[in-house]
Amino acid sequence: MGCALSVAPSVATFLSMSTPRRNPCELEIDLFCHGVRMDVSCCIAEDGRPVARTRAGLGSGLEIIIPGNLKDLWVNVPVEEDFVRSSPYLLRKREGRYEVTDARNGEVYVLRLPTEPRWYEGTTSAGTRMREVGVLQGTYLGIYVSNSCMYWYGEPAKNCRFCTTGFNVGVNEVAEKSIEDVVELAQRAKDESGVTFVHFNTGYQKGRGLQQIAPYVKAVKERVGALIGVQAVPPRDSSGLWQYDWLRDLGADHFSFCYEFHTPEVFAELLPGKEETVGQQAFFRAMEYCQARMPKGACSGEIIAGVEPVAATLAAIDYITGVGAFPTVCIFRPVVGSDMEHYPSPRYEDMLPIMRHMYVACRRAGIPIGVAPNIEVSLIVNPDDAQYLVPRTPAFHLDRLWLRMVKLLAQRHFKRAMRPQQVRGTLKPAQLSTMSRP
Amino acid sequence: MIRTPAGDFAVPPDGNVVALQTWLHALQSSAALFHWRQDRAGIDLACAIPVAEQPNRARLKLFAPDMGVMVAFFYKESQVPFSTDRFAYGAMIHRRCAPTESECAASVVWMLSGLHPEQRPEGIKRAFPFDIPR
Ligand code: SF4
Repeated sequence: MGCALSVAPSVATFLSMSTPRRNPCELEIDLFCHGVRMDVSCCIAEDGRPVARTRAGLGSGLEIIIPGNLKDLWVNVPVEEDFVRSSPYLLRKREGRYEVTDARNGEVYVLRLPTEPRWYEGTTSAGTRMREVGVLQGTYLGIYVSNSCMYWYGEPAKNCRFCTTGFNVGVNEVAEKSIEDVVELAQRAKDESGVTFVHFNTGYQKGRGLQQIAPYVKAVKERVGALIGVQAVPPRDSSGLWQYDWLRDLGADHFSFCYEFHTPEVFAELLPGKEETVGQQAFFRAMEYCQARMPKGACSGEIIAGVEPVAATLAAIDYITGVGAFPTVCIFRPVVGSDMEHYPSPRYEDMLPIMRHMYVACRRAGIPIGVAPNIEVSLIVNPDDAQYLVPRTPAFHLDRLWLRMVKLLAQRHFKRAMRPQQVRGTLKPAQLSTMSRP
Repeated sequence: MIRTPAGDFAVPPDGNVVALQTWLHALQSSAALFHWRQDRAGIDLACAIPVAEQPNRARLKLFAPDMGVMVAFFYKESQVPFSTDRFAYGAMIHRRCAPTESECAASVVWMLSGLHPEQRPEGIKRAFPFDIPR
């Protein structure tokens, strides 16, 4: 069946021939900023992954792979948002392969579409559709464990303004995830899709987010075996930071801290729930606490580029890499249904220096990038994607060699971490009984 | 049984009939044109009036998730034909009560705007503990 998303912009819109051919990472950034229109020749239902919004904060697009000589890049390209209608990029299928054409200069880029995992249409033994429990985002499995984020409940709602998660749960995914469903899904995703990393996310749960995730972490680590990432709103003060040690004992390998905006005023305005309940400093405190106890790059600071001034995003990257964490930089997407639906998509020219800076800052801080096995995040420009943005000097090649050695040395550690294993921690540590509700 | 322009709709015995009737009356008496997709769960209506010369993506689904509860769920469909995604914009939940005329009227205006975020009527819940049927 042909699939069309097309209100084609007129040729005159793209008269300028000044746009040079993009390298893979430049193309990735440009696609994040403009999205892609789809020609009637595309048959994504047969050839690609369905556009899934489960666990969609900023992502609701089409998963593609841009091949490259340094590495292939996974990108979740906007297709649903209104700004896509004027994108210079058109995706089409020709002679059995997919390519995007840039109407500004006629350049053609060949792409691949990752196929839909067979388990997407499968059900768990309890009868739940697997894709409603979790979805692949790039090559990792993302699972939103909770019954929505509490910032969405209440009048007025205090949700992060770019987010639509509260709208999705119960609409495109089941409201409550059972541990058995999650374990079954993780096992199939590992067996059939080669998933190495399972990421649990829970939004705001009135100070109980980390506890809510704990049983899933333990179950997947013990019964499936995978690298495990955790993301939740951090505790308001330092008395709750012990929970990160507890989660590590239960099997967590990675923590991410989504503080989104570096400028305190922008944080307060666009993240009213986070501002009111914990504040920006709680994110910094938790990230610094965890990163100080874990290997470099085991934690990440998540930020959104394209809303606050470029200088603020650069400062955020410097701060995150300065504490030894990994910067995950999303390019802002005015997602359909969000409060920021009518904001403009960011400019390519602004995003390019940010991503270049991200790569340089990581390398300067000695953060190993691209070392973990088979983890490609499609919603962001991965730091090692940005290696395409720096000159290929002898120092660059030497650094790549060094990273390859680190990867080789880390293999044994990752292999061990991905085996099903008895964990040290218990689900009822003594501290839990003394914990007060914030 | 509720009679609608597109046909008859059997209200589940545990549904909130009064709320459903109020909604249908409000929709029928508005100047806007709605298409009823009978292959969808509940009463699923698409607004047929374009917005800024583009097709209006606003949809309303009326359904009864629980005894005595009636939900008016606002959403958009994906504009990508192969996608089954729905973009939720919130819901009005009527527990053993019916919407007021002004609530219905504001909702119709909102649908005519293509569910513009700045025209969201009061009383729309952004998050709700129901699975939305297809
Ligand atoms: S914490 Fe913010 S971004 Fe995360 S789910 Fe809640 S509203 Fe969305």
